[in-house]
Amino acid sequence: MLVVNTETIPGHEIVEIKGLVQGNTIRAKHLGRDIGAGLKNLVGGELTGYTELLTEARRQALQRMLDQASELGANAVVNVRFTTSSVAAGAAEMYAYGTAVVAIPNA
Amino acid sequence: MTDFILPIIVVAMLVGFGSIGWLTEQAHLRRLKAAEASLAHIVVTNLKLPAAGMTVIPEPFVIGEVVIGSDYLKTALASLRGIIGGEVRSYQTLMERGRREALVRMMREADARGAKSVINVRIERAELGSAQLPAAEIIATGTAVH
Repeated sequence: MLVVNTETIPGHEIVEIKGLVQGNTIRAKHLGRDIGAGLKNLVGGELTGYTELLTEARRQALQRMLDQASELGANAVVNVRFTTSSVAAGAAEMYAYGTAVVAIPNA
Repeated sequence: MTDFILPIIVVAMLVGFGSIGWLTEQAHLRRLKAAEASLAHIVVTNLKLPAAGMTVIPEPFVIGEVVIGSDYLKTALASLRGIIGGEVRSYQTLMERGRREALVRMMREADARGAKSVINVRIERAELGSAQLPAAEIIATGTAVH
């Protein structure tokens, strides 16, 4: 599955548009991570626990979006965007969406 | 006498943690500079349209993400700024580090996959709900081509 955040796929032609596909996940941070991040906030620097959280959430949302795309019979997703929103205190949503298409390489 | 103990402890913590934070920041900026120099062969643009002859690599979606926390001194300086107003330099460098680090991670991924260029780069701030702590939560995405 080709995934791009451009509207076209360089070197490919989009022959069919399957429609909007989306995936989301809502993650709560566990207490340990919060305490770790709180301590790290004293001296500054990367909050590795939160970076991991961001990565996990992004992978999950993207995977759900891709599952939808393959169900539709697409072989590529274009114009992929991520959006995050905090749903409640301590819980954040990661949302990925894009347009599922069928693309063929340019001859 | 006991009245002075608490303020002294607070100031000592600010200076202590703050100087570790400052050193961490200087080291990070040096690492960023070196990483950016070693990845200079990857051409990064936020243009939507590819230049003539560009083709996507087999796995073109490249992402870089990072969460960088503030330190005590930065946070304290920023709240002082809130009183007198003006540019909050301590957070300016924090956000700059976040964006540059996310971009470097994205470029590293592109480089590892053999790309020559990354187009349509988007840099966004992620909202993780960790806003209680001042932090730069950045996610950079792009399409890798060769």
